[in-house]
Parts: sequence; structure tokens; C-alpha cells
Amino acid sequence: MNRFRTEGFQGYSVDFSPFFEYRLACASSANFGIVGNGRLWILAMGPEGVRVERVYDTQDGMFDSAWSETHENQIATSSGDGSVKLWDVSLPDLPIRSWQEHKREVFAVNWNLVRKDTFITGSWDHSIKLWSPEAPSSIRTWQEHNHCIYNTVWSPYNADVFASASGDNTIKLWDLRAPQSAQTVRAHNNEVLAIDWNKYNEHSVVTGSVDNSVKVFDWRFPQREVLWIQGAHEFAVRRIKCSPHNGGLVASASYDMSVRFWDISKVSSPVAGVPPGGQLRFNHSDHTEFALGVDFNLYVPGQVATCAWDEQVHVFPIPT
Amino acid sequence: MASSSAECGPVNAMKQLDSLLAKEQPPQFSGHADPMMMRPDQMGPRVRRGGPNDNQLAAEFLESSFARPGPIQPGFAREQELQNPFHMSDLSMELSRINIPQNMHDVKGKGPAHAIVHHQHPTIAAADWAADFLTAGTGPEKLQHFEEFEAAFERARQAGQIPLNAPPAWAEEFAQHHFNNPVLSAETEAAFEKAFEAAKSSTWEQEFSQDPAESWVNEFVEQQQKELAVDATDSKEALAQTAGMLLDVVAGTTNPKFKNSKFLDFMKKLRDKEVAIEGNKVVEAAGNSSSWANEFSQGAVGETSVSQWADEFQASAGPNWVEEYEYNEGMAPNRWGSEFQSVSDMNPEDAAALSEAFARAEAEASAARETEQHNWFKAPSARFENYEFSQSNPYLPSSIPTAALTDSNSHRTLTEAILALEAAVQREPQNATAWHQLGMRQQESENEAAAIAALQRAASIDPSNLDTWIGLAVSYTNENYRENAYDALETWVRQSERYQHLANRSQVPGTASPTSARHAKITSMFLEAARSSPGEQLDPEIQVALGILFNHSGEYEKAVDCFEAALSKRPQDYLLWNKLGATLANSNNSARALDAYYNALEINPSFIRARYNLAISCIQLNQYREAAEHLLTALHMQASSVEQLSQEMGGGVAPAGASVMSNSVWNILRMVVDGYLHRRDLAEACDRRDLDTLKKEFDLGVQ
Repeated sequence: MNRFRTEGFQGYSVDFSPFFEYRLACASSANFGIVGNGRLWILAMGPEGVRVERVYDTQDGMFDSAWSETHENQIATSSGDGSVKLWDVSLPDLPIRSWQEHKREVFAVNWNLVRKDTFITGSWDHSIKLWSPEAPSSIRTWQEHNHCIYNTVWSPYNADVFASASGDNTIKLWDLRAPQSAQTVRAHNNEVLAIDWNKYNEHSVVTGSVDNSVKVFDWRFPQREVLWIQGAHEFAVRRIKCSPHNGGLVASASYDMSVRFWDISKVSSPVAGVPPGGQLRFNHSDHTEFALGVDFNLYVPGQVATCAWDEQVHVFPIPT
Repeated sequence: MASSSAECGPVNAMKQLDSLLAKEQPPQFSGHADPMMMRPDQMGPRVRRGGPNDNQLAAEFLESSFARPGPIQPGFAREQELQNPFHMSDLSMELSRINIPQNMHDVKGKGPAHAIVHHQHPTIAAADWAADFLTAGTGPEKLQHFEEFEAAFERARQAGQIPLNAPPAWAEEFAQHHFNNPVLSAETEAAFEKAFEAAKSSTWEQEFSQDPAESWVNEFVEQQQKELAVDATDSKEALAQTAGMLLDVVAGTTNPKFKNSKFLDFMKKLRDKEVAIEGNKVVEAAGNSSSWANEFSQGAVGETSVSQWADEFQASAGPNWVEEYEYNEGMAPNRWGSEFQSVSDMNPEDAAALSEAFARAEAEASAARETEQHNWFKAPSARFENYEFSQSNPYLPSSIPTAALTDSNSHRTLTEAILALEAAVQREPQNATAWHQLGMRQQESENEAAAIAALQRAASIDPSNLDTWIGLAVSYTNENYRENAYDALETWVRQSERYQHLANRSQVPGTASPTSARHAKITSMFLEAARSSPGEQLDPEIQVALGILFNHSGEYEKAVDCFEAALSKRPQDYLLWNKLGATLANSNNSARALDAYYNALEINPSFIRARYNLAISCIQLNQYREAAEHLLTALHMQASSVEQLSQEMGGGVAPAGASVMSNSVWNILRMVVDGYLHRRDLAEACDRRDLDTLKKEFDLGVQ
């Protein structure tokens, strides 16, 4: 396992580059993100381990990052002061774009996977905004959720569709072509902190919540979860990522300091009427503080990265 | 997908509940009705909404009364908070209460979608309703009365039957909501209160005492009382309490890693008030905090100046946050670092790590101040040095005299002007007037980088041209390079004979100075200038500068006033109309913005930027086809101008007009046709820069 120490900063999110299999980014904050600066780490994996290619500092904590899908060196980040910045890793120190529109912490930023021309951000000011790297201000704003938005993710199938997870216990399905959300599903009995799309099933999303569980939903049948891993973790589930290589593999990072990998493909249910659970494939328990980030490497099936508040980034293969 | 109509026939209570609630969704929610709804949030800046949350409350109340014996949870969201203190949002929220007590207003006010839509429902005779409520059974007619019930429940609740620590802003908004939606007549209300009391005393209390989680209830009540005891302004106390709650929840875990967690150590210190958060920093409590606060008393954050800072914050929304933080960062990394080194009761490893980090931060900050690299609002100096000329400029080889080229009356369109002026400056690189004109035309064409390059050149050759400095201030503002804009405005004042005297009191431009303080200084300088020529004699230049400054600080109302004042003196100034439009658009007044843009275009139809802005405002108003048409018109005008020119200048190769056409216009057009009109074919045409196909699609006649 490769480790890297994001010294002085606690990691909030890791993202592998869609262009280079050796490159990943870590968005991090000082003082656990409560006060102080943020730092974007651009890391490269090599024969001697993980090394730093570049760091960028921001005024306030950095909570998420998203690599550009069109430009191999560009990456967008979102910060605690409401700002969204675009960086070019070939240029030092300063972002190439900075937008200041959100009124509160921007907790999520995600790049469009299909048309690749835009990205969305989700903020604690209850709004979601659509941006283009070229435009000086946001293109659209949606304000429907009643509570902080923790995650916004584009569909890997449909260029106009994205989903959001919020503290109002719901997840929403959005379509750019419509002014309001297409669906609202009350996914959990508590705040939904994480959501990701299944890369192999167009209608399926996986959610993680403060109720310690992980659920799988199908937008066509929103009344009931398709699968429910109760007690997936001991504390809140903070990040969910679906594998780009295996439709049945899901990763969850949690405040119980572990990152767990689940098999959600076996859908037999032990009790009629109760949704099936998932099977634990692997428990990564090396972190010693809240684990917040996990991502799969697009180019190396089975390789994942995790980050946590113990200032550690781990890169390792999931044992088979 | 849940059907939105209530189901017919006898079904169990829960299902009916669901379907009713589904039916009563306000229009702003999904067309596919959804029985599952949001929970109301009750803490601090997350303001309650009316409508569906009332439904939710009712749902919860009834759910628990009828479907499942268990604790009534008037503050069920509070319960959530207790269970999930990991929500950093709590901490952060407490934090923001310290720094920005006004924050909740901001959140509350934003966005037209926040408008709460109330659904009308019929009032029901008191007797029926109360009777229905008392009966244990459920029937369709009973369920109709939910809305009244919810509203009344809310009132009862607010009246104090269930204590809540609602911050004033929340209560205010709720009172408003309440006022706007008086559903029950007085008798109904009275009946409800009676019924509520009756129900409460009968079923509720029993359920409470039967509840196995009784201890939770006690804890909850205790907590509520504690909450009430906490003053809203005593946010440090609140922060300490939140930290305490978090620790309580984690206390039960058997996982040994939690014992060694640095984060939990930090939480302990917060709870025990060994450490506190002040402004942007973590601070040792007790002894050192007062001196530290004094350092900050000059105007950012500190114990004594929270309200001052909050006022500043209110006056200048959004962007100034960053400025404030920058200011803080620049202020006292020194002292903070040394304070931390004197921490005695932190364990040595922590102290070492922290002081390391701070020493590094300090070094970086001072290095940054020297090289001025940490300032996001300042353009790197070399960025706009080189002006990129268009290729194949038909004016370049021509024999037209330079004087004719720079004569603005001979320019029929913007594009022509640009090409002519480019030729002029290539022949005469020291011609400041030509550079200035070129810069202004580029600005009008939505080519910001070119505008800045040209204007910078003009200013360096002839710094006495005041218009050049204003032009630079505008372009810098558009690119969000505030420091440079301030520099330009200061220089404008310095160069102006009339107002020079005001500048002598301020700093030399270029000195590192916190952006927010600088903004305040420059604004007051211009305000003084404005006062010196009041009423009819008002100087439009000053008004324009003030308008730009107010745009920076987000005081859009004032900016609109300034531009309108300037327009009263210069009604034909299309640039001013555009600025007015842009200010209105920035303050979400897209409809009024359209008028301003149309005015600009009437005066100067080839003013590309106004068309671009017009398109953006159309997008804001969801008028996508119109937006596309405006963008196409702009592109068409640019292209045809070039074509016409090349024909006139005598055949030969038609120049590649693409260099004169604005890339940003193409990009936005592509986004509109692809993302909003969903036309893959048109998107591909955009990629090819195929104007003809697009024009055909939108039936654009030749202008």
C-alpha cells in the first residue's frame, strides 16, 4: 500500500485524474475544515511511491475537487467560503478562474461525464449551481432542497441528468431541460451525505447517510430501496463511490474511520418484503481518523485511493 | 412512482396519509408527486419553510399517534441533531453564528425559488374538525383537514407548548408565513387548542411514559432547557456545547482508535474551552485572547468587533468574505504563531506539529506579501503584455492613411473598427489614441483580454488619457481582477486635474493593502468627488466609477442609481446602458436588464457585448431560443462585417473571421443549443464554427 501524508491538512476528498493513471488530487483543509486554509494536493504515483506534483493553497478550507473531463490539466475545487476555483496544474500558485456566488460552504463539485462542458456544485446554502469553465458566472441555480446539499453527481449515462443528496433526508433527480427537479425520494430517515451513480445501471444510485446505512435506489421505483445495508458502518457514511469497472462493487467511507467495499450484486433477500443487504468484501481500517474520501482509478481496475482526517492518503488494490 | 391522486376505497391509515400528503405538494416540487418529504430543519441559519414541512410535522404527529405507539417527537429534528453531531455543519453553523450573526438573513433571502407557495385549502367548521381529531379512527374526510391541523399545530408550538431555541430571524420568517396563511377561524383555533390539550393529556402522556426510551426524552427536555439558557449571541458557549454533544455520542464506541483521535482531542478542548475559534483562527482561550482580540480590533474579527464585522459583512455580501479572510491572514500570522508556541497544556507532539504548520504559514504569508502572489484579485503582471493581432487584416496592406483608419466616424461596425485600428497601431505603435480606441472596441466586442492589452499599452504611452483608466477599471472588473481595477481608478483620480487633491490623502497604488480596506478607501474618495459636484453638475465619470465600485461590493441598488445618474447626462452612451443592464442582471433583475440592453443596441446595433449580455439574461429567464438568436446575431454581425470589408478592399483571400469573432460567444451558444435546446447537430455546427447552418435553423435574415 502506498501512503502519502497531507501534512498539516485533513483530507476531504480524493479524485483520480481521468487522463493520467498515475495522477490523483486530494482536497484538504486545516483544522479539520472548521477554520483556516485549504490545500489542493496534486499527487503522482511512481515507482518510489506517491509524490507531490503541485500544491495550491486557498483562503478557506477545501471540501471537494473534480477533474476536468476535457482538459487534462484542469481541475475544479470548492471551498468553505463559497468560492469555486478552476486550476491548471501546469501553472503554479493561482487558479485560472475563481467564482464567488454561493453564500455558504460549497461541499460538492462534479464534472459532467457525458458532454463534459459543464460542472455542478452543491452548497450548504441549499442551492445547486451549473457552471461552465468559460462563463464568468453560473449558468443556472436550483434552489429546492430545504437543507444543506452534501453531494451532487452527474449521471454517467445522460448528459442532462444529475442527482443531489441533502440534509433534508432526500435525494433528488434533476434534468437540465426542466426547471425543477424530476424526482424527490426520501432516501433515509436522516441526512443523506453521499450519493453516486452506478456506472453499469442507468437508473441506479447508491446513497450513504447519517443513519449509518448504505442504500441502493432505482429511480424508476423510488418508493422503496432496492438494497439496504443496515449498519454498514458504526457512524455516518460520508462518501459513496461506485466502481467504474464492476457494477456490483461500491465503496463507502465513514466517520467510523473505515472505508468498506461492498458487493451489491447478489440480490437475494433473507426475508420476504425486506430489501436485500450487501456483502462486505473488504474493510480498510488503516485510517485513524474520520475517513472522508474514496475513489477508484479508471485505468487500474481494483486500485483505490482513500483519504482521511489523519492526514493520510492511501492507495492500494482491493484484495480479491 | 407514487400516484398523485388519493386512492379510492378503504385502505390502511398510513397509505391514506401518504397519498394525501402526496397530493398536497406545492407546485415548486416535483410533478411526480412524492409521498416522502423533507424534514423541517430547525437549527439556526437553516430557515424553516412553510408548506410541506407542516405536512411533515402533521405526518409525524399522526404517524406516531395512530400507527405506532412511541414517543411523540415535537422536536424530532432535534433528536436527529443529537444522534448526528458529526455533522460538521453544526459546528460550522455555530461558528458562523460567532462571526456572522446576520448570516441567516442572507441564506433566507436568496433566490426567487425561495418564494413559499402556499396552497389554499377550505376552512372547516370547528366542531367537525375537533371531533374528527379526537376520534381514533381515520376516514377520508378527516384527512382533508390536515392543512388546518398543521397550521394550528405550528401556532400552538410557537406559542410555547414545545420550547424551541429559534433564533429571531427564523421566528420572524415563520411569523410572516403564519400571517400570510391564516387558515383557521378563531373558533377553530380554540377548538383545536382544546382538542390538542385533550389529546395530549390522554394519549400523549401515556405513550410518553410507556416509552422505553424515556431517558432519551428526559435528556431531550434537559437539552432543550439548556439550549434555552444559551443566549443566541453567546456562540462560543454554543460551540463548546456542540463539541460536547459530539463527544457524548462517540463516547459509547468500543473502537480504540477513537481514544487516540486528534479530532476528538480538539473537540474536547473546544468543549472545555481550552481552545476557541475566533475569526479565522483557532485560539488559546483565557489569558491570551484579549490581547489577540485587540490586534484585530482594527476592523476584522475579534470578540469585541463581531458586530462591526457583521455589519461590514451585511453591507457587502458574498465576495467580501474572501477579502475579509485575506485581510485576517495578512494581519497577524506572527503573533498567532508565537501564541500557539506558548501553549502549555497541549501535548508536545501536537504543539510541535502546530507551531511547525504556523511557522510555515507565516513564512508563506510574508513571502506572499512580498511577491504579491497570494492575491486572487490581482492579475499577474505579465498576463496582458502582448496584444494578439488578427491574421489577414485587409487594412494592413492597404494604402488608406492612418488618420482615416483611426477616424471613428468612418467605422461602420465594431468589427471594422477593430481591424482598422489594429492596422493603425501596427503602423504607429506609439499612437496612444489608436490603442485606446482599439481597447474600447475590443471591450465592446466581448474580447476582454485583448481590451486590457490594448488599454494597458495606451495608458503606458499616454497616462493622461482619463478614459483609458476608466476603461481599464471596467475590463479588470469583468475579469475579477479587483486590485488592478482599484489601481486604475486611483490613477484616474491622480491624473484628473479636478480631483487630484483627493488622491493625495490615499496610498500609492500598488502597495499591498487589504482589498476590503482599499475598496472602502477608494469608494469614499469617489463619494467625496461626487459630493463636490452635486445635482445638475454631476460628473458622469465619477458616477461611472462609483457604479463600478458598488458592483464590486455587491451594492447593486447603489450601482444602478449611479449608472442612471450618469445616463441622465449621457443618454446616448451605449456603454452606460450596458453597464446598467449588467448591474441589473447581477442583482437578479433580468427583466429590467433586458430593457437596458435593448436601449444600448438601439443606439449601437453592432455592440456585441450587449447582445452577449442580453443572451445571458435570456438564459436566466429560461428563454433559450431567444438567447440563441441573440448570440447568432452577434456572430453573424461580426462575420459579415469581415466579409464585407474583404470584398471592399479588393478581392483576394477572405480573411479568417474567426479571430475577430468572440470565442466566449461561441461557447455560450454551444451550451445553449446543446444543453438547453438539446440539438446535437447544432452543437456540432458550433464546433465547426458553421454559422450558415445555424443561421438557417433560426431563420436569421441578413441585417
